[in-house]
Amino acid sequence: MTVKNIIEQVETLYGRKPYEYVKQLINDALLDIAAKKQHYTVSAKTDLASGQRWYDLPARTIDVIKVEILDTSSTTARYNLIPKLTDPHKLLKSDTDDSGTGDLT
Amino acid sequence: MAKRDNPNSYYAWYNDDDRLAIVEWKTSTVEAKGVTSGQYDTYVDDTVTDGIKMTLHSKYESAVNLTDDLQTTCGLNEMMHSNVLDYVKSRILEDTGDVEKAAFFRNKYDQGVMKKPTRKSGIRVLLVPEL
Repeated sequence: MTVKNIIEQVETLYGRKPYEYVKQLINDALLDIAAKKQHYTVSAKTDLASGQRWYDLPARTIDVIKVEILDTSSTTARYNLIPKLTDPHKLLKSDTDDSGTGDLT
Repeated sequence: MAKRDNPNSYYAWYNDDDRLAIVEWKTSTVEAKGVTSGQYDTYVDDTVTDGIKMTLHSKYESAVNLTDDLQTTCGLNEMMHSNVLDYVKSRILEDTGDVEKAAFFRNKYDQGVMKKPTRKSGIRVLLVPEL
């Protein structure tokens, strides 16, 4: 179903409505469904940079499912799953790096 | 670093609301850099192009053009397209003051979204009733 299909159905029932208004309602619906169902999964890649701890998440992120690191040691590079730290504050209690870049540069 | 064998033994991640942190398990102490063996710390070595791959639950892409398809452009499963229409109807009726009909379509929308199957991955979401 396209945006045009929805606008046409709305017009049939309720008469002509401004395009921008209906489009905004469609986007509101998409946001509401995303919050309730979390059906939409995407992947994103970024460079692993020296001395950088924090990497910005894409703006449309709801939550992180998994993270993989590119293993370049073998002849055919492949992504390996890495674990999530459940107690980062405990493990890194002596680490003051919270500024967006690494503390070792 | 990423050139080690079995990087999943050395790397870990955590996140806050906007950012993802990647840390590396240090196997040697380098006092000049404040690195202590046996602790997680920031990765320091060659930059690896596309070295991090994240898989995320994301909001749907916004509809921008008239020809945008809710499935191919926005990523919304085709089974849920009728729910979008119910939502739009409820909001239009709400804005025109027909609260009773608006409530009908809103209820239809809520019920429809609740009934639709969850992800194909088999991961289920705990349904907590709204009190």
